[in-house]
Order: sequence, then structure tokens, then C-alpha cells
Amino acid sequence: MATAAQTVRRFAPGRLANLEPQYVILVGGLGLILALLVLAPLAILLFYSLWSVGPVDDGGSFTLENYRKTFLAGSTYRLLFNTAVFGIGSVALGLVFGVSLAWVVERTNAPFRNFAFVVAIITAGIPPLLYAMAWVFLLNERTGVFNIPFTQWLGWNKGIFSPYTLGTLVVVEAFRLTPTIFLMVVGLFRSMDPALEEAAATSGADMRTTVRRVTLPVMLPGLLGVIIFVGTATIGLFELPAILGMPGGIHVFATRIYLAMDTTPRDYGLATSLGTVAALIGIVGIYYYHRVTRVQQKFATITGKGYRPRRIDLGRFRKWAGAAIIFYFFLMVVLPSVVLIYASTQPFFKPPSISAFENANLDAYREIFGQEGFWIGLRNSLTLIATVPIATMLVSAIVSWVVVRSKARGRGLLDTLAFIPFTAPSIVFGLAFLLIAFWIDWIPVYGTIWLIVIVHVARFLAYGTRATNGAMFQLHKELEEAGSVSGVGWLTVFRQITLRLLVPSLIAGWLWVAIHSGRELSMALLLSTRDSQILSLVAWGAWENGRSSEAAAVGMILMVMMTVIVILARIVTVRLTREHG
Amino acid sequence: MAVAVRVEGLEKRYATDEGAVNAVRGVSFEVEDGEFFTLLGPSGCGKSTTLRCIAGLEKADGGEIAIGDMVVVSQSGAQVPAHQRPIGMVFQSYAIWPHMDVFDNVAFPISRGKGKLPKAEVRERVLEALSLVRLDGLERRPAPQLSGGQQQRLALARALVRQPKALLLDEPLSNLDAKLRDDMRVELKTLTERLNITTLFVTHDQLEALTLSDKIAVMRDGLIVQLGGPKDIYDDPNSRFTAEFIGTTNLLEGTVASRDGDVMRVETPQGTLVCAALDSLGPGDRAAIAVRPANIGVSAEPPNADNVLEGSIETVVFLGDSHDCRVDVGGELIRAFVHASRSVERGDKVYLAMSAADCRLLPPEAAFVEREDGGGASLRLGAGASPAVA
Repeated sequence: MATAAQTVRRFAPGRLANLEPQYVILVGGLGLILALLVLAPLAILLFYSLWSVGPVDDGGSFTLENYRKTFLAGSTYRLLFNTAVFGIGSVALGLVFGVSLAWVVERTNAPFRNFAFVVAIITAGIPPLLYAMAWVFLLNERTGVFNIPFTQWLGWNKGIFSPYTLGTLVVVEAFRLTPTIFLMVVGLFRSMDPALEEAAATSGADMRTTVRRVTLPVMLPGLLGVIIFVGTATIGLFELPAILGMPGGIHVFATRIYLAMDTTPRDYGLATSLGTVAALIGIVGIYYYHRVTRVQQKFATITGKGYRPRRIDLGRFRKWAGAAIIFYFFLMVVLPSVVLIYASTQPFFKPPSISAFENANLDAYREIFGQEGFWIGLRNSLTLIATVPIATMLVSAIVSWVVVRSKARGRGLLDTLAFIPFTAPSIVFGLAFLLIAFWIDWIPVYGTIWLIVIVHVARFLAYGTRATNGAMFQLHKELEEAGSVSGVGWLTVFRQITLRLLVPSLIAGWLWVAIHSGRELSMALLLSTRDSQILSLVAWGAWENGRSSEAAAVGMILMVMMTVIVILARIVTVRLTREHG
Repeated sequence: MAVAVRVEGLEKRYATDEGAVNAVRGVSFEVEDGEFFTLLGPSGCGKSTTLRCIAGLEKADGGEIAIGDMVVVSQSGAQVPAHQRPIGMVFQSYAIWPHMDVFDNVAFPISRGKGKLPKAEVRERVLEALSLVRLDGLERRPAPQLSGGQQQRLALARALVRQPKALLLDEPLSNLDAKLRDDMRVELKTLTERLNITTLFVTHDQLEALTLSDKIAVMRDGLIVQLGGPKDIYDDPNSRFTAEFIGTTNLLEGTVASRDGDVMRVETPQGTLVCAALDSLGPGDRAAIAVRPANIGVSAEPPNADNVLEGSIETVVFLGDSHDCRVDVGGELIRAFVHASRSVERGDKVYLAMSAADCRLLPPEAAFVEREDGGGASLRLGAGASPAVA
């Protein structure tokens, strides 16, 4: 037989012969797009932080002056301190709420467990801007609902609660983070094989030992991932510190950058140097997030159908757990929503009273419907929702396919590129794109909604690719291979099999991006002009100018839009899953 | 007969965190038209990788593969992509597409791409393939609602509908429960025989390999260690590895004492045994002797046989039709079967009788390793499947 062929064995001549053309095009093209969307803005941010003049001025030279000025100012250290307290405090408190809620819902026989889910999903969708406004109405020293006992019943000048302190900021952010943490931790609970706990129980460990020696250690990498994830997001948050912090002179990165860009002339040096520092902090955080979640993937066993955890009988504490869930519902959903609706009907915010209800009217709505800016904002927000989620999820699916499935060189780099936007606070990302827009002013994108569309896609890619990566990992490779060996080209297989099977995940990702894009404020904050403003900016503008009822009214309209989107996406998902049997 | 699949000097390396792994190290074989060819070996032996290289799901690093007249992997490194190869494949997980119904799953290979057929013909071919695997009437059933056995048959129909030159099966039976697996095995055998289709089958289950195959390639560490018909492989293992991997076997270590024509005498701690000579061994060489339990006679009185060993029964396990005994012979436990009608008990003194023809002389394992290092030696091993025919 063919011994000759064996002795004269040769290898493929060059690497190129081993690369299929579709991978070269895909990886090259995607890499270029991602580099433009992700690396270019951050690079330009770094550049201007080291440049003596801003983008609108000519000339300039390399300098470290910006950093020197920034770090010689005492305000910078107060800012760092505030950011640290804000980040650590709210994440720690949010973890206490979120993890206990997740444990009660997933592992005990408490009543209203499914209800807690609904609440979490609703509240995770509330725009942070609105949430912050609601708490101002609730906590205002003179008119706040919580202060009614002191101001009206005791006749004090002002109540004991104040919306404009670091403490309030921490607590409100912790409330806001709770549903997100809850949903992520429930995911962790569910991806853990209950047999691990059962094995501990049958080895003679009691509940406390099981939790301490098995449950927590197994969940620890996942929990760390959650902490870094929400922590990074919180440090970059603009809305809450802007509404609850700025009036009291409490600044964090995002608000200080905003202020530097809101003065005339703009302080590009301060904004870019602070932005670079914030982005660096984010990069460190995300680096550890990556490492930690990689470890977690080794642990995770997705059991799917077999998921039937032992539920702990709470006994007489059962009704207290139920009461806690109801209380949580009131605090998270009922109070903020009711107070916002109420505020949108009051010309000036007054504590609820008979006379206040008698004076309630829809003037605020009438007023905003009469403003041209509102209609521009509505049109632009709808444009965002129509374009950003689809573009993001499509690019994410392709990136994930290359990253997870192909063996192309540089696929890891692609993955990292797609994830980098998560590192910088939104406002920093907006700032970087503003600098880019000045830099390439021959592309007429500044002042149009399309600049904001591009920024949103670039940023939400980080989320989109996480979702599609996960879905792609769970999609058995053989499903696609069966397509290839059926004599069908890779593009058809990708369209007819891969994309089709990813549809549920794509819709879920679409929904997440739609909600976040529709409510997002801080990226557009620096980029918007009159013609490219969006609804959240209209609300922010009204709030900043003291027209709180108009701000609340725009907020309510935004909320209704989001709710419609959520319901539509839900209907589509249910219909699709029914189709698949 | 014509050659349907030809693999020559196939090599495949993987880069892993621990460095490069040579998954396939120069595998060569030919499958004739209509033959049922099995790649058999423990996990990690390279059998699945070999199959996936043939399918085009993995890129071969060296060697040549041809399916029919089409050279799909050439020495120069050119590779035909998977979807242009004339193959059908069944996967371990079946890979039934959950978003399609039964009909659409089967229709996929012939209603898209280059192999696209007119609608009426698609329908005819799909129904034909479905009736072949006895799934008629289920065309409009959503695929996820099928049972495991039905999904398996659906995967088979999908692989056959294109009328491929070669049918590739990657451990298709391993996800079924035991009873279903027996049924499917028989069905697969009948079907491939009826269609007379060239089949490449990958399994780690020796029973599947022995019952289904026309030819078996036993693989280990990325090499074929033995190639031959099921009976050759079972009766004449050429290495300890094959002897132990296929069926149950007793192995006795010893030294070749002398050679007398076609037979050799081997000294073992259990006694001197006579067996068919092996040319590669000479007096003084270390060797092992393999004897199947079924080929050992057990009696209370000294029998008249080529080789007789004396021992006492250590354990007895009743299997229904026989007793599975382990007999202590000079410290070594030798397994043998005793018919159920006889009564045996632990501690009984017995004689074991073995004919010289049933005692297979094997080179010691070290010799095998040496040959492995020889690179392309697998073919030599394969071609000389029975170096010492008894």
C-alpha cells in the first residue's frame, strides 16, 4: 500500500493556505470596525489629556500640565473619595439586599417569589434619571413625602431626610442596583448544580456548613464578577450623582467631567485627564472581571431541566420573608412611580394633600407637547431604538461567531476589543467621541442623531457580545457542523441555522440594548446639539432649569415607551418559543 | 472493488494550553466501496479527529484524503471545504435543528446550496429517506418532540438524503440507552447493507465494532495499531493493547524458551506453555501470552491438552448461562467460563486446558512503543494484521 506517500510526507507550504478567505475578510473587517469604534476614541482621549490645547484650538504641544493641575487640586481628591464611598458603599449595600432577596426567592419557600421577579425586571428598566428624580420628590427637606411627619405634623422648618447627601446617594444607588444584582445572583444560583449541595447534605453537613463550605465557595467567582461588573458601572454613573450629588457639591468623576465641559470655555484638559484616569480604573476593573468570570466558567454546570433545588422551609419566618418582598415592591416600584406621576401633574411640587389633588392638571404635558424640542427628542429617541439595538445585535452575533466558533487568528483580540467600551464611564465615552467628531469634521456627523447612534452601538457592543458569546457557547457546535456536511456553504449555515437558533438570545439582547439606548443620557449629554437631542436630554434640561413637573412628564412618557417595548419583545419571544415547541 | 475513501499519512496537531498535541500521527487506510469500516479505540486515540478530517470539519496538517475520485485533502495542503465533500454525517449529539420540523431537517441538504433540487424531487427524496428509517408520517412533527431513538433515525435520514459517497458516523449510538442501542445497532447494520453504502463508523465500544464492521482499525495514541476483519482482530490481536481492549482476555507474562518449527515454548511463572511461533521473537525474549476465557477448558480431572495449568478457584460469579470463574494459578488470577450446568465452588482444585492455537503470543509492550516511534509504521502493522496465523 501507500508507503511511499508516507515517507515523502510534506506539510502545507504557507500559513495562508490554511486560512479560509471568509475568516480573513471577517476578522480583518470586524477588527478594523471595532478598532475605529473602540480604540480610536480612547486613543484620542489620551492624546488630548497630554496636549496643551483643546480640539477647537490650533497648535498646542505635548504636556503633562493637565494631569499636574488635576492632581494638585484638592477637589480631585474629594472627588476620588466621594467616588470610592459611592462605589463601595452602594455596591456593598446593594449586595446585602440583592443576595438576600435572591436567596429567599431561589432557595426558600417564601411566598410571592415569582412576584419578586416581576418587580426586579420592572425596576431594572427604570431610567436612573427618573429614579433619582423620584427620590428627590420623596426626600426633599421641605416638600418631600418622607418628611411630611416633620414638616406638617410637627411643624418643623425641614424634615430629617435630605436628598443631597453622600449617604442618600449611596442608599438610593444601592436600591437601584438591587434588582440588577438580584437577577445576576439568581442566575448564579441556577447555574449551580443542586447536586453539589445535596452531596454536602448527604455527607452530613448541616445547612450552615453547606452554605459556608460549598455554596459560597462555588459561587464566589461569580459573585466577584457581579461585584466588579456593577461596581464599574456605578463608578461611571452620571444621573444619580448629577441629581442627588451636584446640588450639594458632591462630585464624582462623571459629574466633574460634565461640569468641566459645561463651563465656558470648556476645560478640555481637566475633562480628558479625569476621563483617562476613570477609563484606567475601569480597565483594571474589567481586567479582573474577565479573569474572575473565566474561572467561573470552569465551575459552572448548566443543568437546565434537572434544576430542582431544595427549598429551605422558613417556618415562622415565612410570612416575614413575604412581607419583605411586598415592602421591597413598594419601595422600589410603587413609591417612585406614584410620586413621579403625581409630580407630573403638579405645577410646583407640593406634598400630597387634598388641595394638591384638587389642583392637579395636565399642564406640564400640554406644555411639553407645545415645545418643538420635545418632538425632535421623541423622533431622535425613536430613531435610536429603531437602529441601535438591531445594529448592535447583528454585529455582536458576527463577532461572537468568529470568537467562539472559528479558529481564526486574532479572535481573542476581537473579543477584547468588543469589551473595552465597558471600561470607560459613559460620559467619558461620549467625551471621546466628541473629540473624534471635532477631529474628523469633514464627516458631517456632529450635530446629527447618527453620531449618537454610532456611540451607542460602540458602547453596547460590549453587552451584546457577552450575550451572544454565551448563547453561542451553549449552541452545540455539531448543529452547525451538521449544516456544513449537508453540502451548504458557511454563509447559508450562519443565516439558516446559527442566527435562527440564536433568535431568543438576540431578542433578549435587543431588548436590553433598546431599553438602555432609549433611556441613556450621559453619552448624548456632551454630543447633542439642538437637532440631535433625545428624550432623556429633554427631561434633564427641564430638571436643570427647575421645571420639575415637565421633567417628570417627559420621564413618564419615556417610561411608557419602554414598557411598550418590553411588552412587544415579550410577545415576540413567547410566540417564537411556542413555534419551536 | 473500487476504493471509496482513501486516507494516507493523515496528521493533525492541536495547540493547547499545555503545548501542541499530536492527535493523529500518520494514519493510513482504504475503505472499499460498500464497506462498513470502523475506527475503534479509547477516548483520545484520534479516531474522531480522523473522521472529522475526512468530513472537513478539521483541517488536516498533513497527508492526503480522497473520497471517491475527489481528492479532498491533498499533499500540497489544499483542502476542499466540508460542504463540497460528497458525505453525510451523523453526530454523537444527533445535531437535530430544533427550529425546524422533521421534514425541513431532512430537506435541508437538498433544498439549499449547490445540491439544490426541484421542490417535487425534494419531497420525494425526503419521504423516501424518512420511510427508510421508519419515520413516515412524522414529517410535520417539530424536531424537539422526537424521542432519542427517533432523533437518531432522523439524523440518519438527513445524512442519507443527499445520497453521499460516504456515510460518516461519529459515535452515533453512545447517547442511547442500552436496549435502544441494541435495536439501533441491528437497524444500522440492515440499513447500510441494504443501501450498500460506504460507511465510516467511529466508536469506543468494541461490541458495536465487532458486530457491525466489515473491517476494523484499532487506534491508539493517534496511530492505527491493527487493521483487519472483526474475526482477525478478535482472534489474532497483534499487541497487548488490542488483546486487552477487545473482548476479555488473560495475559500471562513470560520468556521464550525455545522454538520448534511453528511452535514456541514460553516459560511463565504459571508453567511452560506451547503456542504458535512469532517470527519477531527469539529464545530469551520477553513475551506475553493472551488467552480468551472462552477458550479455556475447566475440569476437575487432568485433561489431555497442549497446555494444562493447575489452580484453585478464587471467585465464582454466576452469569445465568455460565459461571465466570477466576482461577488462582501460581498467584495470577486467570479468568475462565464454566457451563452453568456444572457446579463449581470457591476453593475447588481445577485444571485449565488451552490448545496451542488459542494461546496468542504477543510481543512485550516495549516493542510496540518502539514501533510507534517509527512514525509511519502503523501501515506496516495494519497490513500484516496477522503476523503469526495459528
